[in-house]
Amino acid sequence: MNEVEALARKAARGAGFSWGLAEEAGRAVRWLASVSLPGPETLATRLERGSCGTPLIKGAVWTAEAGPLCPLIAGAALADRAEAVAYGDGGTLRQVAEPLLLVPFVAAIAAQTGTALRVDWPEGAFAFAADARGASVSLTGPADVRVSAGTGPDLPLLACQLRYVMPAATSDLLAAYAHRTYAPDTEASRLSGAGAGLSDND
Amino acid sequence: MQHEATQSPGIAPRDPATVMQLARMGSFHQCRLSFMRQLLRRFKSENWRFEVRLFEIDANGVGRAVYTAHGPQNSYSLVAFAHDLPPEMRSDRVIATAWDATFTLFDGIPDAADLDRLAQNVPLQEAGRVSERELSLARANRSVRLWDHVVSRLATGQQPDAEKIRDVGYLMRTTAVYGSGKFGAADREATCNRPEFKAPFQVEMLHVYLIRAFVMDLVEFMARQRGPETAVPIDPALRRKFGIGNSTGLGMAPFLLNHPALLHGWINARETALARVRSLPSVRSDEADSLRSLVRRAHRNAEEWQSAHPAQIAKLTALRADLAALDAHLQTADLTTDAPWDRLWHWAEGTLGLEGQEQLVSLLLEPYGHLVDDLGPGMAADEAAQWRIDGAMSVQRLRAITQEVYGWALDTDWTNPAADARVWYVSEAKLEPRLGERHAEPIAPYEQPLCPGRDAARMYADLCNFDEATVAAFTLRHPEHRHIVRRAQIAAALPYAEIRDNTISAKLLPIDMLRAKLSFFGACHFDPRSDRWVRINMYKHAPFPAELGQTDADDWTLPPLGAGH
Repeated sequence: MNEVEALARKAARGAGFSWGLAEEAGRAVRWLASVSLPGPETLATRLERGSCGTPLIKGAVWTAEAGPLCPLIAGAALADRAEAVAYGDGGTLRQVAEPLLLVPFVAAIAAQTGTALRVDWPEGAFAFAADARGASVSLTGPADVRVSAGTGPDLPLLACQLRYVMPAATSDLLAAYAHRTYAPDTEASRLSGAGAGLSDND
Repeated sequence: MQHEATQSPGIAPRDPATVMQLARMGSFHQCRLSFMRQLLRRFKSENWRFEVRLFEIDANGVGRAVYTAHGPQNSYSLVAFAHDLPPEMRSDRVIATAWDATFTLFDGIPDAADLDRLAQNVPLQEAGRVSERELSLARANRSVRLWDHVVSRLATGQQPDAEKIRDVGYLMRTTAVYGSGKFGAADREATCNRPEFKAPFQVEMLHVYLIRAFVMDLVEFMARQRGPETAVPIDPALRRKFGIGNSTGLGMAPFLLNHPALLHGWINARETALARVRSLPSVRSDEADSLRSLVRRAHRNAEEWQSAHPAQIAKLTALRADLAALDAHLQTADLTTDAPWDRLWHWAEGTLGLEGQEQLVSLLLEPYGHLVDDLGPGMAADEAAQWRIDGAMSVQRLRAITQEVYGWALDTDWTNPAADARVWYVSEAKLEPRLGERHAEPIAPYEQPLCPGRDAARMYADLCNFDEATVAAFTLRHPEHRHIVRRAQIAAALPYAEIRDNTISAKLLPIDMLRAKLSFFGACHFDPRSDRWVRINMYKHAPFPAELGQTDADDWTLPPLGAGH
């Protein structure tokens, strides 16, 4: 899972997210993978989509400034408002590009505040209280997502796992984005940058 | 705990602005809270048992071995592969592809199928793949000059030359020890709830401890191959003088910046320990004598400590002078009443250099295991606990935190090219961190977030022009500051989390960061080979597994005061 998180973080950075948001992407993808949900695949879809909108927050309805709403930016904004989300009257995020990527942020808010929260969209439903439940039939949106207080006793329990087997196409795609964070190599940088040039063999 | 009841109002731990300076961090020494020390104390107190389960090495020194450590609940096995490496392939660089020996630490006792699987992968290191049954992966190269000397001496019935052992200090040096989830190995989260792995880096320290035992057995085995009739084992007292070397490069330096909560855990434990000792209202005469003896042993250690690096030679000269001055002072100072250790500390701050001051921190803790050892397990950190940004915090409060934690950075002129001369980046070729010259190479677009001071100054400028009230509004408007907002909030809660110094200045010495980290491992004899990589020695003077039962498992890091070396 450390490797999953690191790859997701670097890929998000390579795709143009700030380091702070890339860190959020890494955590979110790790969380999804650790409950057997396709976090890496959904991040790959999100990154392939290109630029998405930042939320305009007007009361209980969040809309994108332009295009579909970015679930990573919106998720981080939700997490930054943890108390308001946990104890408020619920709200709707319009046209979220990949709703599944929002889910880890809501799970984190529920855990942090000890509250019961639900995330619902037409093709997915999750509930977080003492346990974590939910299912999603579609990885991609856009879809309107509702975040509200509540439980979901009828939803299936999420299955924790320690390993995530990523499809090769996903890991290749994320690795290609991650690659953009690496500086091209030159012989000069190889020698000076790592500090070699002195014999290390005696 | 008895001491605590008699303590005067406690002395506060040192100011983070004093402690978290790179020059001071680059003068840290191992102490009794170091991770090797914690591990050996546990072996002793829990009666760990060690056995060589397999030693299949041929006359050329090629083969495999299994060394198993049995704790109260779990067993762990070093699986070692010894190779016959042509000299031209021997390199400590991370880009090497072959080594004299390769290792993994197996969770439990491996069966034949495990060993065959590992034989296919461990010798390849990064190019192979291990599983969640493996906890870490490592490799080592011989010190060719010492190895050949020891084998030929032992083969002819002679002991190796003590001077030569002193000059090198080890028969093999590890060039990497990879833990936690690297190359398929188990994540730390999978084992961190076991008591033996609660403290940081215990997997890696166990791994290296078993490597040392294997290497000493291997060198004696090779001597017997060469001189079956004449070979002798190494004299036990001489054997102890061999540690395991390690070559650590720039790749490790970002660790301290990437794990702020953990860094706080380490430094806070040591500073809390120092404050507890300084707070003692009085000191027994045997404790005072103990410190006098420790200072002399530390002086001997400093005499044995070799380096060819000009900066380290200067530091060693200063350290030896500091220890001589400290020794002289201790002969006449009143060390028994009126908070003697606190008075000694104030004397040291006014008299000694950074090397001497930080050595004294370590020495002051030595007689007080009962007062400070309980801090050891708490040096691990739940990094997730402080990770979430508190968006409800006011912008005004974040400004105040920035002034408090990064005041030095707000006072820095970042338009001066020397202030931001360096760039931390990751190279395409080997995916390892490197340090480049911002104003000479086109690498700034690839900069890693390892310059919190500069980033905090940029954030502060935007905070001062921001007209909304909350941090949540600020991070939404300024996603580029999200990383440093998180760091600032962590540092506000955990004061030793942040290096309060410039990590990208033209004057940066990455070896300062390496030494700080390695001192917490318990390493000694830091020998920088440039400004960005360092050789160290691990477990020098430590008892071997078979000796743990009969000896003090905690009084080994400083050489004894007896005759000779």
